[in-house]
Amino acid sequence: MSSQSIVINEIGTFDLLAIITKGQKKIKGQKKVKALYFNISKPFESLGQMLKQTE
Amino acid sequence: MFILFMMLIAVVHAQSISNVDFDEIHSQVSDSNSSFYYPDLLNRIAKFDTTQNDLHFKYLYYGNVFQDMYKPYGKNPHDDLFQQFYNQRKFSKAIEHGRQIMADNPVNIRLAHKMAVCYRSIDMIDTARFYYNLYTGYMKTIYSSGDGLQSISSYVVIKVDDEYMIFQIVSSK
Repeated sequence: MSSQSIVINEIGTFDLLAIITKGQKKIKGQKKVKALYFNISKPFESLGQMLKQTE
Repeated sequence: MFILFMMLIAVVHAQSISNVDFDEIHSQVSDSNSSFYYPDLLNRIAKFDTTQNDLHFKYLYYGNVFQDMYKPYGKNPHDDLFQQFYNQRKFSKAIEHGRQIMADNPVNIRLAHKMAVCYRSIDMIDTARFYYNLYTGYMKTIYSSGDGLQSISSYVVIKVDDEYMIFQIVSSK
């Protein structure tokens, strides 16, 4: 992984993980995956509730 | 533009994320007449049931967020001991702690994989296979939630740690 960032938009909260493409095998007809989005809305909601309870 | 915005609002309001309809999952795991009633799914895990299919794993994984046991940032007191014995290759000792963690919450992808390794190492192949099925069942569930290429089609995870499990596999392809 070369970088990680959090993206928040109208759909939800995401971790965007960038992939170093150098080591990836070339598959004919497929582009190398450069980054992956993971929706982390549920763990974020849980974290928010936890913080509310501790306040 | 306005219609698109309203559609996005509707998507968020209905609690559908990528291919995961959380409202429907909540309804199924709370309904004692459903095949996916959460206490029944947990019972099947406790009995090392190997007949669970992809749908069972989907409800087990995403239905976990509606249970009291769902603590994505919590730490189990057995975590460190499990890891310590696992690193020392004392697999029988590690299993004792792994089972305690699994009893608290069986939706633990990394642990399911390591439990399979532990049981394989002590030649308990059937139990190793059970945990490996658990691991692959959860992983397939996440893979089915999207393609990860855009936010609208993201992979949906219920724990941040789970994204690293998927990431390791995709980035090593």
